Amino acid sequence: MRKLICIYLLLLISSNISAQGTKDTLESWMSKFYRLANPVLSEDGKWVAVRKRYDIRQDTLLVVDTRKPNIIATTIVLDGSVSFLKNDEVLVYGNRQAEFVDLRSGRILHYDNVVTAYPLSELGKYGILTKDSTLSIYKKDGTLHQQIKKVQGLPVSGDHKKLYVVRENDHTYEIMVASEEGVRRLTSVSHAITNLELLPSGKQLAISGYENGTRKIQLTLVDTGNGKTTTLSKTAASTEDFFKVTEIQEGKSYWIGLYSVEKPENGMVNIWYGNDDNLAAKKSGTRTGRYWFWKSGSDEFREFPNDKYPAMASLNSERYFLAYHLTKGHNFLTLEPQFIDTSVYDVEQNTYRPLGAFKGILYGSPELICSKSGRFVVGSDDGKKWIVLDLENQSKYSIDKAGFQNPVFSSDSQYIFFESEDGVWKLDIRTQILVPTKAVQGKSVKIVNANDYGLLPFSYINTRSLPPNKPILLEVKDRVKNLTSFSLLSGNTVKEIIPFTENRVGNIEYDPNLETFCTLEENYNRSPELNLIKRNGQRQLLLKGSTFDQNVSLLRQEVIRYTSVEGLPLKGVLYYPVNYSPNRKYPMVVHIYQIQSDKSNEYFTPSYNNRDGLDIRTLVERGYFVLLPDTVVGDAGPGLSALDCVNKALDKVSNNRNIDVQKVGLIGHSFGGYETNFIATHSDRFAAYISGAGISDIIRSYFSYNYHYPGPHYWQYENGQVNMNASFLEDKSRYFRNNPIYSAEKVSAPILLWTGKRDENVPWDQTTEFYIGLKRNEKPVIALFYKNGGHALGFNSTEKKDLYQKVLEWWDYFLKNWTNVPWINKQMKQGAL
Amino acid sequence: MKKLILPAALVLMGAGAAFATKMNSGKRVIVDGYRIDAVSGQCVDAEQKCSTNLGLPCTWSEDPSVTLHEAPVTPTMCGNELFKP
Repeated sequence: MRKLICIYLLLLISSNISAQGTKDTLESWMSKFYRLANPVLSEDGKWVAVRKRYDIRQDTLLVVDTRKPNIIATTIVLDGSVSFLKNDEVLVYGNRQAEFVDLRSGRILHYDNVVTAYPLSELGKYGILTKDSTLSIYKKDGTLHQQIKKVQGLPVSGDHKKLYVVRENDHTYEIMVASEEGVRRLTSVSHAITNLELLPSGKQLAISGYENGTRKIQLTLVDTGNGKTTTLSKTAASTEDFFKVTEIQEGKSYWIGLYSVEKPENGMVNIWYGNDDNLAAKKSGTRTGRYWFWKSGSDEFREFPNDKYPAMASLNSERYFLAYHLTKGHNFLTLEPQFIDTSVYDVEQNTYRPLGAFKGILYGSPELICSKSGRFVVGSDDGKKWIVLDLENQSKYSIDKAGFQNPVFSSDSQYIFFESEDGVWKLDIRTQILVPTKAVQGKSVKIVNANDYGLLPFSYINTRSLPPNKPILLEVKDRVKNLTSFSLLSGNTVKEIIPFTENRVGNIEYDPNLETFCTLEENYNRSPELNLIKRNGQRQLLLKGSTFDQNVSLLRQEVIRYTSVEGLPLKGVLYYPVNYSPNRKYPMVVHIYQIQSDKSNEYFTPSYNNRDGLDIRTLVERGYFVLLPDTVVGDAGPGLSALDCVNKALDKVSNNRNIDVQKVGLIGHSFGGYETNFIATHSDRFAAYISGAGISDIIRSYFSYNYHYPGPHYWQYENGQVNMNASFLEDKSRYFRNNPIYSAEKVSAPILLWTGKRDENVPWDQTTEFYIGLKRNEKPVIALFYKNGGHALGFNSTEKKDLYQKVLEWWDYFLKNWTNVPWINKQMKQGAL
Repeated sequence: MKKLILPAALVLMGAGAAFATKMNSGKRVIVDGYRIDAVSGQCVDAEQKCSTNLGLPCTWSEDPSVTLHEAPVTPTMCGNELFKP
């Protein structure tokens, strides 16, 4: 491979080779790198399937017998979904094809014209829906078991045992079920069906659609046991209205919403009011809803009142519901509206009990986590601490400790577990006693195997609980050392499954009994490897990483440490050039975007589809140091803090005599683009800059309407990523001091700006503004405006490839003095334009 | 050693000191990522977390060419594009 790289480098610097030739060689080199990705473990732990993911394709699936490591049992050339059946079989489907492979005999059955496929693992069968609307169910030997023609829409599957199918027959729509007993008609409805959904308990099918040519929308709930139907029929505002049904307590009752979206005004004049709390509607329109309650088996749907509150949500209780306002009082200091006025609605008494406000802690919207029993709800009224509500006793209490996230109920609804940066904490709901579990105190912990079920669309009102009689699988992070481990917590016993490792542990897959686990582990000098781990800790390597990337182990990295002005410990990751010689000096590219040191154990392949403008692997192969310093926003504001962090990181690495401090470039995209813009106006330590999709005028941005996240943008400054923690009015001078455009005249090195003209997040005219500011001050600047680019450039797009090439040429020009680049010379050489 | 058991209301901020030392990577707002399912045409939950912070696109772990979006506006239309958490 080293030879290949040399050829590529040679071509890149040779002026005699056409640009297209250089590009082809580069692409050819890149296309050979791959990584293992997306492992799938069979339920019995006998098999693992893993994808070979190349830069722009991933159509090779490797299947490994876990009893015969390091041997590929089968290779399947098909991108798509992977499902193991019960007895050593695998079904793969995607791209209009399907393959069923008997892993013992190696027999492969191939299907074309496939819409989708269904593994019926419990039955030892599989279904294939083909373009001619025929659903064929095959036995595992490939013989046809059953066939249903005139299938409408997409069948739905339950527990890998049954398939529910809609079949049109003379303007009636039959609901069929294919199961162990064969195919039978469950029921039929007269309305067309646009949506078929099996609710999670499997007790009801929800089918909905419009009567032909009318705005009459119908929802029919079908009892999957006896075929009994109950229909709700309404006149919709438009044919885009839709029903959404969620279960209460595993199918005891159901909550139903009918949603309409009213399009934004589009008349002669659009009037904006200062007291409007739904400014998102100016772009997205207004969503309204009507809501019903249906008790399983009853003949009636009971509509919730909307006289006091316009919206009603399930709390997984058959009696108590959340009544709330969608946007009332939204002050746009947060992206999403918070619930500032809520009540519990008692469906039996038809009464409301005030509950107060709810705010999000981790998520942008308020989070309400409900117990499986339907009795308890956890939420936050201040966005920091959690409160526990007892719906039955009409009581609540506060947990007087901040820093908890993602509460999870035990399956018996008696305890709540909280993730935190200080281990997992357990609350006894009845006694209100909160204790840290023995699991990994002082470390950041996530609960991996919680079951989530959304109770309300477009929201974070969920039931979240642990599976019954199973240990809790925990992912534990040591953020200081960037280590990861996995443990099982059962009662007070903690069993470490994967000890702390410096490797990045990508996917962890596990069987339902948490006996067998498989992981992909990687590092900056190691491509992802597939491992199998048993609960007893026994571990084996199933598949080595990329066989092509032999030289990855030669890569060299160093982690530097420094502190912010506020004393926060920060790190920088320094990658060494390949074939580094201590007797040479090398140029360096510095990339900034908030905290990056957590990426120190990421495996990088050369690719157009890496982060826009940054391909670490190619840069080190081409003789650059690459530095990723952490930056944080401190009291001084986002720009000045980033400048301080970058200066400290540069001070640290300047001890390295192999870095040519006269040849250092700075690059950033998005928030990193803003940081780059700012640093360019305040630093003389860089020889060149590249800034992509970066804000140049934070005050104009603060007072803008953002069309990506529709609404006033000041939330991002006061309470979001920019982290000013003050309004413009409260601290004008800090906004002024951190605004790049106000110091455009101080830029002391050439800068390449780029933006996508479809970027509604950081609008492209922020780039234009900086360009104009620099031009006015006669600074060397080139701006690239990609007509079809968004905030980032499209995957594998020509724009992405163009930027990639230009970025490499920009660094070579200014950091290596390779000045034979016509498009740069037009700016840099007098008279060349 | 006696087990530490404190009523919720009595747990004070002492242990909060541990939180204060954590690395602050800027404020993050986490959201669920959705994608258009190629077969059904429906906007479905990708079962992945994304962010509303400015940055790189949040892509589907199963296929990095697919960008994830906010919750659906209608069953067949996902919301705005999201960014890496």
